[in-house]
Amino acid sequence: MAVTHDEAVERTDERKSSWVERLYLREIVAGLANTFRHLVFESPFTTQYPEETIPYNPRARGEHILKVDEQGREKCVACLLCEAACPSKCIRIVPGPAPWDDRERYPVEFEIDMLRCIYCGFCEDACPCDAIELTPKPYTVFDRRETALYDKEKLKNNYPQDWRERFSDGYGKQTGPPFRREAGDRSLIR
Amino acid sequence: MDALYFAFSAIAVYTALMMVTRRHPIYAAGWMLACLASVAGIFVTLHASFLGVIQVLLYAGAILVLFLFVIMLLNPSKEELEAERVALWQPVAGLVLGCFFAGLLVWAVLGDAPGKAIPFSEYPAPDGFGSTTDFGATIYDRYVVAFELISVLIIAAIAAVILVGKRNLRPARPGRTSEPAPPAHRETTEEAVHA
Amino acid sequence: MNISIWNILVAVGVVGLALQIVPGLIWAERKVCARIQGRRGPNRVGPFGLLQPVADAIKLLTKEEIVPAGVDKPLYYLGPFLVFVPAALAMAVVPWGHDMVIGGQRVPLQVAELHVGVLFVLACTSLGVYGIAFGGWASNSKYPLLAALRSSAQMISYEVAMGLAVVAVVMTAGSVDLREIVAVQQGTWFGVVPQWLVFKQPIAALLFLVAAFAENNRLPFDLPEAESELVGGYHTEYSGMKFAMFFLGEYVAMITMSAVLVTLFFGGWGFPGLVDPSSTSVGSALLSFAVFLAKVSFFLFFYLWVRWTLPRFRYDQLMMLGWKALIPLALFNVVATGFVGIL
Repeated sequence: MAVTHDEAVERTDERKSSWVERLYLREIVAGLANTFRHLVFESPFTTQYPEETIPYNPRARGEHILKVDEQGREKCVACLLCEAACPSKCIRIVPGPAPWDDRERYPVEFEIDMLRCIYCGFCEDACPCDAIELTPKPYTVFDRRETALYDKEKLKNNYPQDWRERFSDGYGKQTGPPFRREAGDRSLIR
Repeated sequence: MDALYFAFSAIAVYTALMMVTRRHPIYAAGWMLACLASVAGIFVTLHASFLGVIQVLLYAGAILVLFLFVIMLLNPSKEELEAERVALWQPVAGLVLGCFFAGLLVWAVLGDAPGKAIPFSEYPAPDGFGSTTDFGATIYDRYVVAFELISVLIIAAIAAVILVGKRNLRPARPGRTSEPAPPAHRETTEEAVHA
Repeated sequence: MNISIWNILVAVGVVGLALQIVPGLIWAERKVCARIQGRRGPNRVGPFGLLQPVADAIKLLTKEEIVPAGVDKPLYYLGPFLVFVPAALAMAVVPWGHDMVIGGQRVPLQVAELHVGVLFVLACTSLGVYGIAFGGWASNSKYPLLAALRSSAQMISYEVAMGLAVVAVVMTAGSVDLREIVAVQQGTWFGVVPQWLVFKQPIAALLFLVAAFAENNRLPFDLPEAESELVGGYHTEYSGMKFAMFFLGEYVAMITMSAVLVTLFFGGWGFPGLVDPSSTSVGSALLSFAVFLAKVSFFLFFYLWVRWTLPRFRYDQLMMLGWKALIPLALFNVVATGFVGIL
């Protein structure tokens, strides 16, 4: 049988406990002590966002970067596989004959519309020469549509080229900040 | 002091008139609040500050709040208020009673009634008049029997209110016939106790 | 009754200074709340965010005042002021420090030397409900109306407990004059324990404290403005400075209540070994004022501390606590005090 609200209230109220327990004095004092401990002895948890940031996990999919080789040339060979793989059609590549001897084509123009991008990472999967990567860089806020169109130069310098090394533990294994921090732990804040 | 006394009196009369002529009970309660406050002012100017403060504390602070509570609980709409008609005998009775009391007052002030009112300036308040000590001594010494009788009367009223309030508060509860039904709405009786 | 320029200066200065606690209190409320919750609180406006209340005030003053259609205009405008005025009025009878003698003239650090001070305070706090009741009803909206109903029921319930707690204090102190109640609390037992009434009347002190929380609509008794169930409670339909007036009233009422609590139970402006109650010098009087403010500040902090510790009562629990626990306890306390007094 369904329990009506009044009956539920009554049952909870009539739970057997001694009158000392029902004064809740011990609980109130314990609660006050707890909040006082937080007030006085514990440092704040929060990050002062615009000035301080916590780096994202390296596996987070943020904005793209176009990788370059040792001579500063983009690795991309303008195969257009990423453009084909992109589900939101945000990549636009204009291929041209490469000015270098080791490849035939290179992207004359390489443009990503960050407003269309859904950060799925399919382009990174499709790329045969690891030329495009998604980095943990958080999505930028735009105030004009034009600024959301990232060209080749912008994409090359969008994030440190060696970010994977920076976030690895030296054995090629990526490490990132833990998702939980203890209160007052400021070691990862920069 | 005299000027203050007459000012408070004028305000009291004006607010009382406003109170009885308002159609909406909330406004009537608001004017009554002002009226009670000015009566408290009259008490203070008559050197009875204890009585004045008690007037505000009990009538304005407690009893009128209960009035407001009930008015807001019922919250009559404009149509309901306008539909209400005053029977002819009501203003007539009010007028007759009003004239009677006004006459009594005039007789007390100007005539030769027993305990005739004396002008303020001719009768300075004795030392400690209207103070808490004086007031307590009067009630608990001189009028102690009357005071205790009143408290018995109030207890009788409280008991009656509880009886009336609880009579219709036992809804039939299916499935719980083995136990006596508890009072369904506890607050009602408790508020009634206070009233 | 001769009023000198000093009396007026005291009235303006002391109460004005006490009212200056309000911005500090708003800042402290946010800061304490933040720290208890592991946040930082306001820290952008001024050092440590100290100018945040000023920024808030500017925002509220310049904000558009929206008066919803269908409100009952006169009472809607009256509401916020009826919350603020009685709360500020009660400050008048609080003795903020001991008397000074300036130029051979006695100047009390008190606006009105009323010999029924305790009752005056109770009367003023009991009037605070009208602002909420009128404002809530006049808003022509269901949540404020519910809040107004709750508020009036709550105020009446807890006023009885508060009044009875004060009765026990008056019986112990033998006076309803706040000055005399402070005077009997000067001195010490065994040279160390101050003769504060909290040690003589611990039950009354506890009852008064709980009832003060309820009278001020502070958590855990903030049912009239319970955000999670009544949107904003009685001030849902208010905006701009009228809304701010409600808050100002609440904070001033908190200060008044803390001041009365200190006066009744914690020795008022006195502190053994620090303030000499027999002195009449200006410096000593200012010191006693500072002691008083320090004590008041502690209880204001206690308000905030409790607010961020205890959850809100359910309405039936609130009534249960008021009528079935506090009032019988207060009555018992009065009777017990009477017996002790006779013995």
